[in-house]
Amino acid sequence: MATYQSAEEFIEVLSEVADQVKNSPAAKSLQEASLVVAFVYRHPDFVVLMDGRSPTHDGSYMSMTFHQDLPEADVSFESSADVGHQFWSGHMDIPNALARGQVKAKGAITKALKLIPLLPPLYDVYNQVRQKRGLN
Amino acid sequence: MQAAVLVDANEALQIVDVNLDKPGPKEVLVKMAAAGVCHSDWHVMQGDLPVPLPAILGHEGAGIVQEVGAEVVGVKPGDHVVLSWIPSCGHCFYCLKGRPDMCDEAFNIQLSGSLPGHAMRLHWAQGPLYHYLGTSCFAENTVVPDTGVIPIDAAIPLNKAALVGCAVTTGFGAVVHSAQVGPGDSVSVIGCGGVGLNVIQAAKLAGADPIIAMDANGKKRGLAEKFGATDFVDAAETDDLITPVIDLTKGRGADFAFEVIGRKETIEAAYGMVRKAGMAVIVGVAPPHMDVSFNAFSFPSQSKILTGSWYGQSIPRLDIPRILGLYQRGKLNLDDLVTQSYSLEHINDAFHELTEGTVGRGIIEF
Ligand SMILES: [Zn+2]
Ligand SMILES: [Zn+2]
Repeated sequence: MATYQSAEEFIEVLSEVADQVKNSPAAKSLQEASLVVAFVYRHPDFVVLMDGRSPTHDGSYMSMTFHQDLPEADVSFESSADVGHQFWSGHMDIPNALARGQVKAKGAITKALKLIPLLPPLYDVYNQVRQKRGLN
Repeated sequence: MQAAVLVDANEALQIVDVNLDKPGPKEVLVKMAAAGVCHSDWHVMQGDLPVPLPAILGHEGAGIVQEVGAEVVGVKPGDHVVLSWIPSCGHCFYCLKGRPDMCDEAFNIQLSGSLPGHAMRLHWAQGPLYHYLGTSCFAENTVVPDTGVIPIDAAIPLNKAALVGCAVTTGFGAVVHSAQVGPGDSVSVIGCGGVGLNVIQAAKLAGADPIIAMDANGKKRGLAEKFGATDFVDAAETDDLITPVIDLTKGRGADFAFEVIGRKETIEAAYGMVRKAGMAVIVGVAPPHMDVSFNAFSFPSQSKILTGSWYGQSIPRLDIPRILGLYQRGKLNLDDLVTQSYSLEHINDAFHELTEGTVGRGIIEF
């Protein structure tokens, strides 16, 4: 069974995660690096854009938006949505996933990979959001 | 005699009356008993594998020798034979290197659509018909090079032996020759059609464990398990084939992965699901224009071996009798491979059902 039956379901979870982490240290680092990161998912198909460069309307460090086509980004990570879920839930060994081709990265990878150590608090938020929604 | 002719790509096969010349000095005329319906024929019908047309397709067959050319010594009329679609010459660089699967002369025969020496033995009202892989066995009779007939024990039913002409030898050889799987090695197999099932049963025979079978048709689960799969992944339910294999192999990845479809995504997945220094064997035949992509850093840092297997890297004269011996002693299952048989007139139905993915192996019986 696929983890998410529709893009909407995944987007709702990620929107809530974004709300909770947009002022976090990880988001701050994204802003300091002035990075725009895209996650391109298949099955369901959609794109998540994490933008630490454009000014946000509420003064937070970053915005998260959802798209059908790939917008301009410094770095993009392409994978199935199932693998995307593994990433957000903290169950992915990122270097291994790249080597195996489960995730295909393009662009300023080194800059983006520097942010990895800041991610674990995001995983916790993601898992809590899913749990609250009865998705685990 | 009746034969199935492919006039042009993307057309149905036409069952028509054709003429067959007598065999040349080093050729053999075989009366066909059975011919398997293989994906490679379908690729040709789709225009994905370019071969000279019009041609009589069919490359997986068995029959009885009717007539032999003056210089033929290996077989005589009345012998039961399996056709080999790599009629290796025995004297080119690759044949001398012990790799008749890569024989230059056999490769040229495949490209030219003739028999060795540019001989054309098939004709219809409109002119000559091309040979296909030196076999052309979707016909009541065919003329093949003497290097393309393998004599077998007459006690073996020819409708079982036919499959050893391609699917069984390809799958068996991929495991035994190309990968050299050993006891306790973990194996994953993407695609559970005629060849994939034989990869599975050869892996079982080699002592592999676990044997993880994958197919986009969930109905293949039962068949895969019957041939020795220990686990089954329904590829229709996830497009991440790698994670289940990692999970079933203690987090490492498989020692060996076999891709038996010939698609970009599954070839890339096969490489990805193999452990460090493991081996991915691509058996599936992709269209010649297709490209795949792999993570470049992983080549040195994970040192996986990525290779292919053509006709199971086999030596047909040794491997076909060897496989049939295993069948006769109950160690290889050929009986459950054939899930449907058809008459020549219904050959287009056989291809339709092949593409539906519902059958193990379909076979034409003459
Ligand atoms: Zn074949
Ligand atoms: Zn040769």
